[in-house]
Amino acid sequence: MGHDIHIDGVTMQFGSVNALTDIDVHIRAGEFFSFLGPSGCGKTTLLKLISGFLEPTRGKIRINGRNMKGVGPNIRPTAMIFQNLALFPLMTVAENIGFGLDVRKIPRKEKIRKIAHLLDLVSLPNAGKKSVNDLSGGQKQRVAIARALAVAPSVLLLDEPLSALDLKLRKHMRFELRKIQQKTGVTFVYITHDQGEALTMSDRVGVISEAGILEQVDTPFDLYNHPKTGFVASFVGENNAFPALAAAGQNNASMAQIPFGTFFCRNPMNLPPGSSATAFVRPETITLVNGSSTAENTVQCRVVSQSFEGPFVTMVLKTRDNTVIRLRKNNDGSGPLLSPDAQITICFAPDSILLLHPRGKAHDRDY
Amino acid sequence: MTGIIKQAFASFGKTGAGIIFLLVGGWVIFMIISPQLIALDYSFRPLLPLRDIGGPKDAYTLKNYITLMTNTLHRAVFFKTIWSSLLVTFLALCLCYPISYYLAKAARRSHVSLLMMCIIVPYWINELLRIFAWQLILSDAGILNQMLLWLQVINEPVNFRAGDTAVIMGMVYAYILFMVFPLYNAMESLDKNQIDGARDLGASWLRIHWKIVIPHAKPGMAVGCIMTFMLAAGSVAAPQLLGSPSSFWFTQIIYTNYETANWNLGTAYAEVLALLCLVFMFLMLKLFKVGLKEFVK
Ligand SMILES: Nc1ncnc2c1ncn2[C@@H]1O[C@H](COP(=O)(O)OP(=O)(O)O)[C@@H](O)[C@H]1O
Ligand SMILES: [Mg+2]
Repeated sequence: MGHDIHIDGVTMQFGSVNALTDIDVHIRAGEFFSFLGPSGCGKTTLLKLISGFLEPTRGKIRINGRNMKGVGPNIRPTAMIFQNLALFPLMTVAENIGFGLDVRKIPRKEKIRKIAHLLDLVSLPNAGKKSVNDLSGGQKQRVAIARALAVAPSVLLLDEPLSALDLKLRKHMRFELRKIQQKTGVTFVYITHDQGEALTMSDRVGVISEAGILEQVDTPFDLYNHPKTGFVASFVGENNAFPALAAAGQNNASMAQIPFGTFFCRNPMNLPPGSSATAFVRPETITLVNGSSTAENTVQCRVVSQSFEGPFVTMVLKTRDNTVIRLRKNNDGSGPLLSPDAQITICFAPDSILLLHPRGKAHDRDY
Repeated sequence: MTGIIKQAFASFGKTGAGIIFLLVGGWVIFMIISPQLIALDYSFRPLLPLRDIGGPKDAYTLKNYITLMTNTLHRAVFFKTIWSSLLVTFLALCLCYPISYYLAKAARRSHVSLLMMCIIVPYWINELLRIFAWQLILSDAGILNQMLLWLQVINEPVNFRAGDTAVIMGMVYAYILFMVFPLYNAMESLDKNQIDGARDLGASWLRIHWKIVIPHAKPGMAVGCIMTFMLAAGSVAAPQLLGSPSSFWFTQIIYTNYETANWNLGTAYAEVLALLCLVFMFLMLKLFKVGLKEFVK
């Protein structure tokens, strides 16, 4: 069964560079937890800290309540799946999986039984005698998982294990990984820069910014719908970001002053009126209004370009003051695309605009 | 082979390729094949006074080779040379394995070139001079004895030069580079994650080396051992300068035969030595399960 992990105020410095700053998170036992962040944000470093290949500069890591300081990677109850898998190329599939069992001096008979069981678990029965060099990318992936699970870890650490696979296989492996995790009950700590992976597989996701700061830990649903920082809002999913000022409307309603108008919005941080902020609007929450309208929360735009992507159409629009807005519309099969330069009116639903502190790089992202 | 010929014609033209093949062919025939054949011919003929050469007595015989088996001194020296060269090879391997591992996998990038320099710089000096240096180090009043005396490990100077101790020490030192390079090359290409992966699965350092590093470094180990053994078995300078007067190396016997104008016996012994090295090479390749192709690479 899985163990829980406490990461308490962990900071990791390489020389004078802070790779990770003050990471605080409790990963629950048996949870599928992902760390999501751009490349170079310190994800691999964090896994190495949990597995014991690195010791934190400050702070501590507890697994199942036990402080891991000074406990080597060969002793910790963790197993790691490396970014490049690191299968042993001179060994067969069975020898790879059996490596950890040999270390633990498991008797031969039991070892053979366990290897067969693990090969079944990762859906590779009868592959034991093959050389790992003869396997496809997806099969290697499965062998790496089986090899790590062989040592009965209570925490499995996965370092972007799907990044080398093609899209279709990647999507399939997401589902497989999730299934294996639920079957074994092992705590999975999964790191990725691919938000699709993080959102679809995980119980909870922690988002790390370029600066190596843990911005938010939440369920995929809350992360997407209730981002707490500008970084999360722009990194997870797509978002329009506009420089804004917080304002108060009638009955103290939250308003946002954006260059092209003043709109109703959500203000979860309770930013006081007048404070500068960033307003985020997801492209798929913006709707087209028939005809020209002067109703509230609407604005007139010109169509700059449209791209048809099958299930939906993405439009790039410009307001009169030349602010670029992206809009995504479901393709319901009705009607042709709009003509370029068409004048249209769009509407922001009142709580689709999210007002957050202007922090990180969120508002310099150009659309 | 035909591929190479076609390629040469394509890239150098008819005359160019012709000249190249003439040069290479000439080299192979005059520098490699004929000397070997002449030596082989010599080794199967008896030693005769000048007037008998070409006469009826000048017939092929196994006499020279039989001498190696019947002459007890020569036979003993031959086997001792094998044994000592094996020892040199083994000691060099033991010494160079950790050095190479450190250089290839543990040392920081910036340190590697510096350490490499430290290993290479002594080779800027002629081999003879390096061996003379060992004479100084190992002599009765040499640095090593002085140091051991000062540390009170010993009470009287040790005579390292008796027997083959000094020869073996000198050779191990002289051939470090030939062992370190192939080992380093082989280990360098090992993915660090393989080591970390094995460690993560709980393996001790001993097991990691036995199961991961050594199997990966095998071709390099084979090459290093073959080179060191051949150099040791074929060395003249080290036994001449460091060995005690009563202890011979097989090469010294060959040398003496040439000096005393018994070229026939000398060549026969040289052929045996060459054969020994060849046999050792194939044994090593077999032992390390390395193909001849990989070796040449
Ligand atoms: N051993 C190390 N020495 C110095 N800097 C390192 C070391 N390992 C990682 N870093 C630095 O730490 C940062 C985070 O690296 P990493 O954890 O590999 O990022 P990620 O896995 O998220 O792409 C990078 O800027 C990287 O250069
Ligand atoms: Mg990484």
